[in-house]
Amino acid sequence: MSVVDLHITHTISNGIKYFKDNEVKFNELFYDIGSTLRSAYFNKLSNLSVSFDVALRKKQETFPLITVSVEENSSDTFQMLGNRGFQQKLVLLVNQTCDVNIFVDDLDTMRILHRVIQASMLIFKQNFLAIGYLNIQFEKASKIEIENELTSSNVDLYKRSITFDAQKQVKASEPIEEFDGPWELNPNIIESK
Amino acid sequence: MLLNTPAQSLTKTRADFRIEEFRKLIKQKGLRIEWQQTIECPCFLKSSSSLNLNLSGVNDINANESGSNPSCAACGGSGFIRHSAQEIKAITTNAGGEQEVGKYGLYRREKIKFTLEPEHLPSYGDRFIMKDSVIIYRDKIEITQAGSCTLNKVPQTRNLNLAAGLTPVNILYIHRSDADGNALADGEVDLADITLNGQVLTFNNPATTPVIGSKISVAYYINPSYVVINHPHSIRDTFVRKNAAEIPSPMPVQVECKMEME
Repeated sequence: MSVVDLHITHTISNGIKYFKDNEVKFNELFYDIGSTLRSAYFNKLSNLSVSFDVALRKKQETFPLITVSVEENSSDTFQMLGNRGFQQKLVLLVNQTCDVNIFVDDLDTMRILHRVIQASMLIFKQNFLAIGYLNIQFEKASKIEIENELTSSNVDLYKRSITFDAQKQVKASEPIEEFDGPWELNPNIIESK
Repeated sequence: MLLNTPAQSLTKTRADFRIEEFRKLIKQKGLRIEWQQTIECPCFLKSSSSLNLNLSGVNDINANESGSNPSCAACGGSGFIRHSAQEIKAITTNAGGEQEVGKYGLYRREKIKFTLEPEHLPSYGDRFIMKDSVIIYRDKIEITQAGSCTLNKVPQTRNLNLAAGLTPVNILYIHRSDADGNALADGEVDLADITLNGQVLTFNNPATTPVIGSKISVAYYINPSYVVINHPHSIRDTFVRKNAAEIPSPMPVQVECKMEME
């Protein structure tokens, strides 16, 4: 399991708090709607008690709920550095596809959280780079769907996943062991002459 | 073509549904339910003041969309308002489900059927809160003020037949962490050291009062609540013979409901 889901969960949590505490910045974020609706959206955000978790946690949460799940893959194209020897480190380059799953029971909350999450990842992007991410960028947002498995007091639950792609180097040092013997293949293999 | 069928004598004895007997069953053996009816909220957004959209001098009209107003005092933007909350009785059957873990975490996927008197005809989205039954809810609360916290759900008291006699119980267990995120090895809170007022839990022993910034886990009883999702017998009406006349008579109704996650 990766740690990027933890990084994103805490980033979004702090991003939401940042916009809750800063109406001016919130208004800048929602510059393209009228002041009446913008004020209603800010009040809605201010009164939200958002639950955060990584996906698949065995804990029942309340809504709105944001969970983060990660799929990791690698590309041969980018593995040139990965085999051996970058500053005596073994390096694996991974692409981490992170789904920020939003579960809400009204559509306006979805609109607000969608944009606030995108903005949170933007304003804290430098912090990701500072701890070693090569990049982290928005990839896509899924269409809104009804989450049929769940029911809330407002009957229907809506879900949407916002996907970010993080590039990261996983580094590992070899055990320190001087190589002083003759070149020896695996003794169990009979060397052909 | 008109398809008339032959005339039939209606005087012979036949089985009629006796609504009084079923009412007796519901009123005697039914469980108490708080029934909240549901209707779409009539609120809406005015495009002129809400969207900041300049339509090139066209005289702006509202889109007549079904969207709700996020600042609506009645629905809070959910689009539904609940009305006519009242206590009724219902026969409950087929309650069952399973715990599932998904991207959303843990969910108690549970369904139940309620059989109600004909006058209590529910519709999609209506909410039922069982007043005589409880389930255990496991809560996790961040402590943000000294000496007390508010639980996420409304705890309920159940009288348990224990060795010491009938004992009212609402909170089952509390465990504390420190402010650094570690559960305390001796973090169990003695239930004699707390008082509960509605959803507010107050800690009376300074030695075991959780500090601000810590969290507590709490297990307590709550009333399960459900929303209507299905009408297995959407129409249930019949004719009952009375004084040689066939009288239309509504029958008890049954709905299938799903437990709320929230």
